[in-house]
Amino acid sequence: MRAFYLLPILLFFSVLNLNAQTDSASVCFLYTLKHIRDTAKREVIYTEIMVLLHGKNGSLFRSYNGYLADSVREKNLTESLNRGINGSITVKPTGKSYIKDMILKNTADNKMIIISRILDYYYWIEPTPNINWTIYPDLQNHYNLTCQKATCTFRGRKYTAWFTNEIPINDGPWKFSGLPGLIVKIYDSKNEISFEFSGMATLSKNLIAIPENSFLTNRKEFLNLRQAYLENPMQFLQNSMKGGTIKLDFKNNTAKPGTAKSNNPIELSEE
Amino acid sequence: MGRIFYVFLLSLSLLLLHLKSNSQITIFGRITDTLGNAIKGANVQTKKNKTAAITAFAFSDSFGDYSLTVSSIDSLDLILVTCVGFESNTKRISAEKKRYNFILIPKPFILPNVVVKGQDILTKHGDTLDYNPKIFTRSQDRTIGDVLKNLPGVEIDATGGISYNGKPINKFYIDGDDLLGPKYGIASNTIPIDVVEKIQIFENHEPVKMFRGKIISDNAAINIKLNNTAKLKLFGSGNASIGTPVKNATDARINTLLFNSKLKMINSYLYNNVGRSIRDEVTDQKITTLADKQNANSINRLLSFTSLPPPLLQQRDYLNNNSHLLTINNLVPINTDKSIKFNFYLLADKNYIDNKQLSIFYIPNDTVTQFENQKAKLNNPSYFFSTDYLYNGSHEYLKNQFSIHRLSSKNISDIVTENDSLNQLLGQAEYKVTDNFSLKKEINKNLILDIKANGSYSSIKETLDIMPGTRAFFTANNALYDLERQNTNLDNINLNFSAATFKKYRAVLLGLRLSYWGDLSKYSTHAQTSVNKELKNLNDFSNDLQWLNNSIKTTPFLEYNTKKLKISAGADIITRIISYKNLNYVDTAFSRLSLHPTFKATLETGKYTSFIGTWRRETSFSAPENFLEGFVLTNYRNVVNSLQNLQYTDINTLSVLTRYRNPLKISFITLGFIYSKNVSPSIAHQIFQNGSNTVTQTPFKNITNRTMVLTSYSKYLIPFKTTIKANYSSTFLQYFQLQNLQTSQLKGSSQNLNLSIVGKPKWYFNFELNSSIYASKVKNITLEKQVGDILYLWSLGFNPTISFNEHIYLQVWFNHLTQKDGSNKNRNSKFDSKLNYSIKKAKTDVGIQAYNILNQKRYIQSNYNGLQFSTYDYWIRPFTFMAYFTFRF
Repeated sequence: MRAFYLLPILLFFSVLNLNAQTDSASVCFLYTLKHIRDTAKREVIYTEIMVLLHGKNGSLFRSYNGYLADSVREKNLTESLNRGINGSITVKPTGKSYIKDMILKNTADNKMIIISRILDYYYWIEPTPNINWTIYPDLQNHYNLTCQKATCTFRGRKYTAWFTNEIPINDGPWKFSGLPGLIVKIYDSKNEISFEFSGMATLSKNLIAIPENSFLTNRKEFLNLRQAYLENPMQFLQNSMKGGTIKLDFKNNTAKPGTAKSNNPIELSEE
Repeated sequence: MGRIFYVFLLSLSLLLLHLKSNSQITIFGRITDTLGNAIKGANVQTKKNKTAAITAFAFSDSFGDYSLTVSSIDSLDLILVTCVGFESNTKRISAEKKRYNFILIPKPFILPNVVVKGQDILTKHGDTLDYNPKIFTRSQDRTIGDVLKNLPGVEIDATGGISYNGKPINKFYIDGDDLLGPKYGIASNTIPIDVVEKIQIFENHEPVKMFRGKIISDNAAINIKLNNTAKLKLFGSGNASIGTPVKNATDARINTLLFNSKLKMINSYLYNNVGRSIRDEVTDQKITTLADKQNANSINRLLSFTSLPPPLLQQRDYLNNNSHLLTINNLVPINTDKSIKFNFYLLADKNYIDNKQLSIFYIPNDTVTQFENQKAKLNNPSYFFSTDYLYNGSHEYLKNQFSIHRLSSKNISDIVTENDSLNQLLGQAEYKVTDNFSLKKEINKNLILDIKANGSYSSIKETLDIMPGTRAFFTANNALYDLERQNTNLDNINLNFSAATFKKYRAVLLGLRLSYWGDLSKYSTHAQTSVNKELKNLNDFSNDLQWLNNSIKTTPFLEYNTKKLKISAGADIITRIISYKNLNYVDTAFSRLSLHPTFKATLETGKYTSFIGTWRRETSFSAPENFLEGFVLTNYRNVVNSLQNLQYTDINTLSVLTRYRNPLKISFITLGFIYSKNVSPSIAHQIFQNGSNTVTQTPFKNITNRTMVLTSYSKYLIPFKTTIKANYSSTFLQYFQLQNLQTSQLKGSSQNLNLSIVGKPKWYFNFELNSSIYASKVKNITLEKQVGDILYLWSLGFNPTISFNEHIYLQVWFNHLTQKDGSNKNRNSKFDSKLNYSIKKAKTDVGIQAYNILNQKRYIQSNYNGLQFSTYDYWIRPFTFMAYFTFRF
């Protein structure tokens, strides 16, 4: 409940000077995420296509379905506004996306911005994690690229990564970076999480930036907000409505709030 | 005391600090562009060479500065800088220099050719290679056998035997279990490809767990790793085809499979009368090693039908059969190390022969012509049962295999020869009961005891009836006979015991094996002839032989095993004590000591290349049947007399091989040279006459030299999604031949080049292109008279498949074969097509198939060999049309 009172404050203090975070992707890599979200149901593996938009000053990693949904939403919004029907907007979610977090790695000031969504976008800033990589002499061919093995421990999980210095981009999926080449495959020791390179993409909208009308927050406040949303989405919706009415069309969307069960997040610990 | 301790600690710390400062070297520098601007975020790496793994790395900061710590510097080490938008730059590191500045030249970054499907093709983990079956599966491929032949580095021979990088595999595992043993052909046509997660090759595979890491093995095994859907419940597959023109032309099979934790099972029933040889599915493939072969003594059938060499056609085109096969293979895992296995098959195989043969022997002062037109029905039923108990623990290995094998044949033929017409009947019944026991136990960490005991009993009974005819051997003055009958009874008991102990001293393993084997064989062969219905025994054709061979073998051996160099050396010291009684019950005994030294060295140069040198010398003894005193009529044409010569052959073999396999580049290369020299004190003297041939062993210094060069290349071209396989072999052979009192020396050479390209460049199109060129010549260097020219064979096959959508594909084969020898030419063109509709993708299909040899009704093949010319004329399958249905459940 307390979280609802935070909303107007957050909205009031929202920082929208995002010019410093704006970049455009020169190359986009697709990854397949496989995630056992519920350890009691290990046979259920959530799979989602993720996209890494890499630019000169940073990169943005997010759900590919989320990217498509945003594009459609933006298009619908523009069309609806153009039609000007009493300011009423119909939002039609497209594909299923259960990874809501976007990760913006900013190499210019060595910061990482996590953007997530509960109806609106919220973001908070974290220092770029200092991942202590150990590299091994093992080489393998993945996707016609010579890849080298590296391991690390990150937020409670032990990971094995395969990176290629044939693509000299020090980046990778999720929050992983800091190897002398693109990470094409990374998986944890329990085989609960894996990110695997699954292609290149040409995207019409390749902006690496915090979405417009996003609200600055911190991780703790955001988690409180999300908890409040999951407990009572309608009340959260009423508190967040400003101006015109927002009508959600969930008919074609299975990703309803609060339905997905997870006892096995990607990050098990803060450190 | 305390002060001394602190001084000691201080000294130790200083020493460690000194050692640390000596062992780690810091390299630093600045990275700028051509205008002198600092480049931030450039990758700085050190490597042993350009293709090696990165040993250390760092990134440049906003000033372009970097600092990198390496543990040691080798004179060949490189420092490499890469950055998107700039050309990479490399420098060699020297121990004296610490600062390395780089000026990077701008260059647009072009992404390397990346496989966008996101699927691994081939990965390597230690000694395991994982092939992704999805990459190599084409729209028409349904079983594991369809896909195995598309894998780079893997070869499948005509009978289904699998080789990896030029060497036969030593185990075929299904999900880690050896369910089928050497009869793994059934798996190829049974396991659906959609249940396969990975196809794995285990390099340097040692099947005995307790020997892994202790004993050198350069064999490879294959493992078909199944996905989870195959492990949950019983599943199966099958197909049924019916067609024309053969009456009730049918090809059908049903397979049931189970691979759960309690039972592994492949059970199949197959039937066809359309030329598909189902015998290959239960044939033992080549997996035995040389050492195992040496102890496997067995008796052989003496009688046979005359037969032609197989024609250069696909078996389906010349095999006229009616075959049933039931095979049951069950493995019950007791725990991860223990299992019990049952294998059974029942084969009813009938073949129909309608072939002609004309041979002309240009012998001094004479020319002998022989002709045969044979129409035969061969009925060969057989069954096999074996049960295995296996305990393959990390410190102990126990295996016992008990098997019963029954083979029989009832063959009948109508024969027209250059002289007369006759009928030939051959009945054979063969039993073999075998028990193989093996116990290996680790006494302590460095000492292993290895005990083997094998016993077998074999019995062969044969009756050959030829009627009627004329023959000088059987009747005076070539009078007409009603019947010639040859009977043989052969019995053999074979016992083999061996015990070995090994001891390991660091990289050296020393061992000693003591073996005993004994063969007791009893031969009884008799012939009769009937003239005017009166049956008479033929004394010259009566043979009784009791044969006992007791051999003791002592084998000291040594292995030296380091990461790069593996050496194994050993020597079999064999004492053979042979005694036998012939027809007249005259006891004869002799003993012979022979030495079989073996040396093998494997040198690994780099990660992917190895050189293997092998030398072996051994003495082989002739089989007991060569000690039969009299004649044996082996078929209507041939009479054999061995004249009791003790025949032994000294065999020297030297081979040098280079093997290269690079899983990163998905390429496999083998280069080999093999030389062998066989020296024997006798030669088979062949006497060709109108009507019959006689073979006798004659004293002669018989030397045969053989030189072979083998090369094979296999690569997967990622951009074209295509596997290329090329093999070239060249053989030179020099040998002696004794025909009709004329000894001559012959030189033969043959060159063989095979090329296979299998690709699926687009989802809607895949193809297979096969081409082979073979050239051979045999020259008689003793006599000037020559027959024949260079024999050329050239075959070309093209097999494109077009998928119209995910349900329908059209597959077409076109094969052309040209045979040329001087002015003789034979051209053969074959067309085959299949239209398939998949009701359920890769699981349920219906379709039609038609095939035909376009320009020939019979296949004629000529062969020239020194002074001999032969023409073979084969039955070939007429135009065939089939409708088929395949299913899964």
